[in-house]
Amino acid sequence: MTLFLVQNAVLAAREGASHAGGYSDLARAGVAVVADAFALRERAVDRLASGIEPSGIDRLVSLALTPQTRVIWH
Amino acid sequence: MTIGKNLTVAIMDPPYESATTATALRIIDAALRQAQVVTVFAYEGAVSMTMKAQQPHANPVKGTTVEQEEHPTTKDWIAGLFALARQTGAKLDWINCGLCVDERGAGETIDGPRRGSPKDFFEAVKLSDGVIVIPTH
Amino acid sequence: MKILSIVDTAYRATLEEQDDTILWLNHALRNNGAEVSILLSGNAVNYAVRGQDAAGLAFGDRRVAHPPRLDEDLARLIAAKVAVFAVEEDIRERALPADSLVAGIEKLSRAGIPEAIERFDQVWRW
Repeated sequence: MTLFLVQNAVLAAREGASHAGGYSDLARAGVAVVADAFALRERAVDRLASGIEPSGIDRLVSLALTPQTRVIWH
Repeated sequence: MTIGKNLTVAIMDPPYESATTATALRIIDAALRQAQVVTVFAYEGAVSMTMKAQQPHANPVKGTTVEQEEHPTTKDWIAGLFALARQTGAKLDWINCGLCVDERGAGETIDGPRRGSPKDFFEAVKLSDGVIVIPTH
Repeated sequence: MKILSIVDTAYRATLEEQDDTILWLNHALRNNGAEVSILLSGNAVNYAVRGQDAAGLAFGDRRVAHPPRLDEDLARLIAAKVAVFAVEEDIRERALPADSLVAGIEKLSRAGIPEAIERFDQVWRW
């Protein structure tokens, strides 16, 4: 499973944010937690909580095109 | 490009009102560089994204003229996506839900989009390797 | 292909559309052969309450001729063999009267959602 953070969801990924620990916990549990690099830059999120990886939106497309993948947008 | 891959994206938000608009177009842009066929089903307010009558405007708060402001329009962004598709050899099939077009008076569009229905969306989904439905709120 | 459509937002534009556009879309997909199921969550669970009445709305002399009848639309979906689920906790939190729910709605606990999702090829949240 991959949790791909876009738009304002990346605000919670900032190191020290109230819910950032939840994302780090997910990463430790084996979930790939990815944050849209453009959204991070757009919001000047420079430091991410541990376990969260920045990435381009092209990765979201690649994931969506991977066989047996369901994309659920929340 | 990932040979033979098909992606379908469904969008709902009207332009200029939600962060999902730019995100969706970025996804479609990225998809046109990876997939062979990208189908977009524009439902509800999203059908307004391709309206031919959209116009840029000046910005009186910033004191810019129309020319200086270079205000984006979604119709131009989408025209750019059709141009990208021609460049990459991918097919962009942009379908505006017809009933949504009718009730919004959004029938005059740029070149490229076509009128369709939920049936077209389902037919595209059946042929797709991936489907992304971006909800509205 | 089994499709689960999650409907979370409720009463959005239902008066001017005279429908819930997502229930409508899924009924249209069903009419075109799609094997869809619906999961009502959040405020959308209220669609399952019988007796909703939006009649009488007018703007000047412009009346809304056919106000939405969302409970009946759900009943029609169920009659068309569309499985309609509703999140149990969302029903309870909103104190929906148990004896006033549309017949045939299946309750699903929040904890049961991940397992339920596994049964579907596509899961779309609208």
